[in-house]
Amino acid sequence: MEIVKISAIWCGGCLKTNKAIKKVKENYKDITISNLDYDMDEEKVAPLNVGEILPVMIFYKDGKEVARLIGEKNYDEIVEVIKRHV
Amino acid sequence: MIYLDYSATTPVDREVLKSFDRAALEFIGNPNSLHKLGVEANKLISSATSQVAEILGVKKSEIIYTSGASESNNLALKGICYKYKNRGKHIITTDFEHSSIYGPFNFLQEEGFEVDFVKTDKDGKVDLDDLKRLLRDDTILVSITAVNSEIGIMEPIYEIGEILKDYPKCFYHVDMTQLITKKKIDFTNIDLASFSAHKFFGLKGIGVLVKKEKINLEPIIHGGKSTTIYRSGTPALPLIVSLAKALRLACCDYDQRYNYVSKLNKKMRDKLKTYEKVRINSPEDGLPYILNISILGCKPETVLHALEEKEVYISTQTACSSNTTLSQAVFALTKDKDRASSSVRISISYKTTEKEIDEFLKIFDDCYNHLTNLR
Repeated sequence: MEIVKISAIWCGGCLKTNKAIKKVKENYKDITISNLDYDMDEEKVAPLNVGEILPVMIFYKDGKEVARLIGEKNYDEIVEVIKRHV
Repeated sequence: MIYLDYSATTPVDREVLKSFDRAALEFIGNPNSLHKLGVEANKLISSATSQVAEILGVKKSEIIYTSGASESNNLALKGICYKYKNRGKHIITTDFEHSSIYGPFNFLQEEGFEVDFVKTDKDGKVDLDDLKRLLRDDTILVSITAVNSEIGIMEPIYEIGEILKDYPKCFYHVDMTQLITKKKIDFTNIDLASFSAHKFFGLKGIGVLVKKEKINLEPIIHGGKSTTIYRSGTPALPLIVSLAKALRLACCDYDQRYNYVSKLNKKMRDKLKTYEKVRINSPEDGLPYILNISILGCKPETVLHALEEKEVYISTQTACSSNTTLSQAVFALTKDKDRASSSVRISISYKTTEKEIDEFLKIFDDCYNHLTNLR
């Protein structure tokens, strides 16, 4: 599984979610988590249609999007999606 | 023209501009040069700094000049964290900060600092019990904005200062940008405070970080002594003199100006809340200089441009964050996406006239009817 997180430096909700993401990284070492910056990586972010609320986490399995979490999330909310699809 | 965007920036006062002109034209020396021209320039900076310190009620040695509040915020947060990281790496903030606070916090998080957010109540005010719960032995910094720039929430900065007195290893930074000159500020229990001159009819490009004498900071601009050892670069004498002038002109008649602005705010609030699709986002006890509203179903930029056509100037969200239309602050307060994606900020000053507010309300009525009938 791969998670792509879209966040921005000015976003408080992203700061909060980073703490949960760090824990996910520690506990799910086989999942690849990458980060795109909403402003700096505009070209890569645009096709993902992320909308207006950040952060956005897109979950991919076998290269296909299987789930999307929008807005500030805690560890349990992220893990629930992972468990549903792994 | 009706300018209602004073929280974004203010037009420079002519007297302030005259001080800038005079200092730039008559004091040409580098204040750090040893010759007569340098010594004269240095004396002028020293006198301006004494004036700034006296107005604020702090020591002259506690004034650090910067390019503005964003730099002051960066210097305070990174400066403390780099200097005191051996004491701990836990730092605390809120949901209602400016992007120049979240930026350094994000940066520091990447550097291994642990960030916590203190809970806030339904009006966005810091929950003091939650703050006490979050504070730890390794907490080295709490940074709170005195007034949220989008909604006008006023945080209990003095109560927080009282709590932090019991945590001598933890420093307390307050972003004063929207509060300075609007209320008399007591710096007794505040370790660091940021602000910029252009919010009170000064020039853009100059700000201050107040830093208590006992505290050290790691500079973020290295290169030797300027007016202080904490920020290098040739001292910006004309800007410093203009800041002192702007501060002197703005820091007076606090109660009279505050009450007058409160009256204008109430007039707008009372009228605007009668519209079916308008929601008032600013709390009743917020700073009266800021009134944030949502017009449900209308995009902020559409409202902004409709008013602009009638020469009324307001803001969508804070001018400093993103290209999304959703307001982070309104969303954090209301948890309502519709409100957060349709909010605009009206910000006034003691120079705003009642006639301007009456005219604005008439124009708003036309725009509201036009925009809501289009749907």
